[in-house]
This record gives sequence, structure tokens and C-alpha cells, in this order.
Amino acid sequence: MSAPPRHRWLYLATHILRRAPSGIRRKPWIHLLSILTLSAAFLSFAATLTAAININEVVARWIGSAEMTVYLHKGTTSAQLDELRDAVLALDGIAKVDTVTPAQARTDFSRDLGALNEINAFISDEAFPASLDIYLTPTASSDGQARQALAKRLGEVKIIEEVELYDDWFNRLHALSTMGRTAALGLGVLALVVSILVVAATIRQGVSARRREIEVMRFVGATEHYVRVPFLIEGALESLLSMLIALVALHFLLNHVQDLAGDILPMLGSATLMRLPGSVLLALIAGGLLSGLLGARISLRKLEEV
Amino acid sequence: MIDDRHTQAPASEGLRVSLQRVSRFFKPEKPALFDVSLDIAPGEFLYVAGTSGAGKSTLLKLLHLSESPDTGTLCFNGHDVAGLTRKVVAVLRRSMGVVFQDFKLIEDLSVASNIALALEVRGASPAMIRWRVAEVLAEVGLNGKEKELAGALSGGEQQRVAIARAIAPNPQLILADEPTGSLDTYSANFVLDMLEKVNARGATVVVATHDRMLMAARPHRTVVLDAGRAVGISQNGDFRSRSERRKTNLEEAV
Repeated sequence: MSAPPRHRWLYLATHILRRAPSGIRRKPWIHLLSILTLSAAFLSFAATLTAAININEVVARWIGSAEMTVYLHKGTTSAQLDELRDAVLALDGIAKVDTVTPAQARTDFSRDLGALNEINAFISDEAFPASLDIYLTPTASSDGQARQALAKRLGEVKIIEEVELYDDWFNRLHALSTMGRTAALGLGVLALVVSILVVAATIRQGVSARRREIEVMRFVGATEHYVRVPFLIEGALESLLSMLIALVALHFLLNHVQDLAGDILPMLGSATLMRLPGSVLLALIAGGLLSGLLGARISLRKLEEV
Repeated sequence: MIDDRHTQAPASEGLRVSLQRVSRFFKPEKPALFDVSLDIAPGEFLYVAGTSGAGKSTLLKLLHLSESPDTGTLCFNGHDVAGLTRKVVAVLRRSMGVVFQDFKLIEDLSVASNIALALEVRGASPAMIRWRVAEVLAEVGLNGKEKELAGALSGGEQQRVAIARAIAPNPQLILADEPTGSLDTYSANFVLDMLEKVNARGATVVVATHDRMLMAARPHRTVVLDAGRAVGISQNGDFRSRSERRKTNLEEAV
């Protein structure tokens, strides 16, 4: 009593797909608990990944900004500023030099403050001396001793009050960036392991609860594929759903962080938090699906005993 | 929706089953079946009689391909079934219907879903399944109970559902292991009526039972097992073993 061969596979697939979510329907609380656990694991991973991407972005912006700033004594004229700029440009290892007048410095500071720029009015002009932003050639930039030597040489120039090197900042940002990447990687592996274990445990419970059903299916002539595939789909669906919930939760979490930290963000070089790019989102969804399949596959090793 | 009901044969052609010197050992010193030879003709109704532990269930498990003989050969329609892959075993099982003493229903599924399972694994269309489930439910007298949970039915009703599931795909061979063991007389007779009805349509039916009253009331060829050995075959429903018959004859003579 089977359908004509041309439709048989279609009907078999339909029956398998219809049976797949039956475990979720019949044991909703177990699956809800596992979906919540998985969502939490996926959310921590995705949030760490987002943090790492944002830290990398900040680092990249800083690397793209000036590597050395020289502040001039009060009363330095525009002509002296231009003369010094030309002199510095003539030195070895210098790629570019930007002059910053006191007025420009205040404007830039005001822009960076964003919504907090009201405090700008309380800062005296002395806090904004004329300065030169110095960009080094890649060779000079990568040579710490050359940078130090250049800073020392510039510090000896009469009209220069202070030379600021950003080595400490760069080092700290690089360390933070590396830490972010490591944390994202660690949490990614952890989320994957957690998801595989949680899905495996849930599906194993499903297999155990449906022992009789599996036995009956075999009695009436179900193939192993017919018995197993619904459990695999169930695991994949559970994991996929958890990943989607995690990504939606991340979206709202980032909106909230954006609202809370919107005033501080411009100081870090960007008015908005970076979101995970589409390709990463797709990779996460595919990863969720695969971890569910893998978890279900592991739990089905026990099916032989049923 | 494609309706393939008209492609289905209304009756099935029975399966020929042949066992040649089949033995099955779970413990070396105590065979579950020993040197059993038996031919079951297509469309035959056969009782397998014997006390508990005689080997009835083992014989049925061999026929259902849940167990394999340790020695001897088991043939379906002349083909040896030894060493078949699990996939082929699954396909062969689709030509069988099984009925158990404990019904083996999925209790948290509806009556209709339990019956549908046997058709779904065969790739039947949803329309075909709906039609056939309604038909067999009417046949076993359970119209209107489609949506009830199998676990909520009485024992007799559950066995009817099990029979409906077994006969729904028009199997060539029905295997029933103590199908009336936990039923009252009325339900037991109903189950036997159904099995005979399916047999009359052409299916081979093998019923394992220790219920002598039942076998006496509905005589069919009977193979008697004792400690795993076939100790007697009766053509007329006399299920007693040769030794038992000798003893009875002796008693009557005295």
C-alpha cells in the first residue's frame, strides 16, 4: 500500500518533515529549556564577537591617526608653525605633517565630545595650543627606536613645548584587541561545545521518551533513515531557532548599549557601534544549524540500543 | 492532492514462509528454537501453540526478521533471508503486519496517527492515508475514535487499533503474538474474527497462542512447540503434542 514511485519519495519526505517537530510539540518544556540555554550560549558568543569587531575598529582608527603630536609654546605664530611643518617634513621617515591651530583644536575637541560639548565652554584657550600631527612612513612607524629618536630631536626645538608619542596607547589597544579576539574565539568554541552537548542531551531525552515509537516504527517497516532523520532535523531546528533568538536579542542589546553609551562613543572615533556584518551573521546561523545536527548525530549513536 | 487509492490492491497475496532445520540459541545449553522445519503456505492460517518459554515468540521474531537463525534457513517465497541489510529487512517488513499481546501502540498519539504510521513508512499519500485509516477503523468497529489518544482506550479497543494498524497496508503476512492474551472473551473473539477475515482475503496469518479453548473453537493447522522443538503438527486444530495425545489415548483406553 504505497504511493506510485514518482510520488513516494515526496510523500516520505513530507511525513519525515511533519514528524520532525513532533518531539518539540510533545515535550515542549524540555525543548524550551534547551532553547533558552542555547540562546544564552550563542548570545554570549555573538556579543563577544561584536565587542571584538568594535575594538578592532577602534584600533584601526587609531592606527590610521597621527603617530606623534608636537605641541608648541603659547604665542607661536602661524608663520613659525608653517616653517616648523616644512622643516619636519624634510626629515627622514616623515610621510605627512598636519598643522593644527588653537581654533582648529577646539573645534575638533568639540566634535569629539558630541553631546557633551557643553563642557567645551569651560575650558580655557590655553588647553588648545597650536600643534603638528606627524604621520610616519611605514618603515619609521614600525621602528620604535627611530620614533623615540625623532621625538627626542623634536623636543630640543625651541618653540616646541611637548612631544607626545602614542606608543602606550597603541600597545594597550593592541593588547585589548588581541584579548577581544581571543575571548571571541574562546567563547565561540565554548558556545559550540555547549550547543552540541545541550542538543545531544535534549535529543537523547527525546529518543528515550520515544523508545516505544521508534520500536513500533521499525516493526512496521521504517528504514533507519526514516527513524533518524526527524531527530536530526529536530536538533538542527532547535539550534537554528536558538541562534535566531540570540541574534535578535543581540540586536536589541546593541540598541540599548548604543542608547546608554551614545555620548561616549564619538570619543572612540565613531558615533555608532559596529554590528556584525551579513556574512558573519550567515556564518553564525550556519554554525548554529551544524552544531544542532552534530549534537543530534551524537545522541543518535544510542539509537542502536533502542 | 494526488489520490492513489485506486492503485492499491484490495486484497493481498499471501507470503510463503519456509523454515528448514532452524535453531536459535540464546544460551548454548538451552535453545530457544531447535531444529524446527516448517512450511507455511500462502494464505494459510497457522497457530503456533505451546506453553510459556516454548519458543513461540522466538519463532515469530524470526519470521519478523527481528532475530536471525543461528543454524538452518528461513525463506520467504523461496528466497533465503539470511544476511539481508537493514534496509532490505525494513522493506520486507512492509509486507507484514504485527499484532502483540501488549498492543505496542504509541499511547500519546491519536488512534489515527498510530494506524497512519504503518502507511507513512511506505510512502503513502496523505489522502490515501486518511481514506485507508477511516476504512480500517470502520472495519474494526472504532469509527469516531480517530482523534482519541491510543492510551485512553480500553485493552480491547487498543488491540483493535493494533489490528487496524497491522491490516491497513494490506500485508501479505500477519504475525500475531498472543493477540488475545490480555483480552476478555468477546474482544478475543473479535480479534480472531478480524484475523480470519484478513486471512480470507489472501494474507498468510501466523498466530502464537497458548489459549487451547480458542484454538479448539476455531480450528486451523497448528504447530506445537515445546522447549524450542516442534513436537507436533495438527491439521485439525488438535493442538496437543504427540506425547500428550498418546497419554490421552492411553487414559481413554484404560
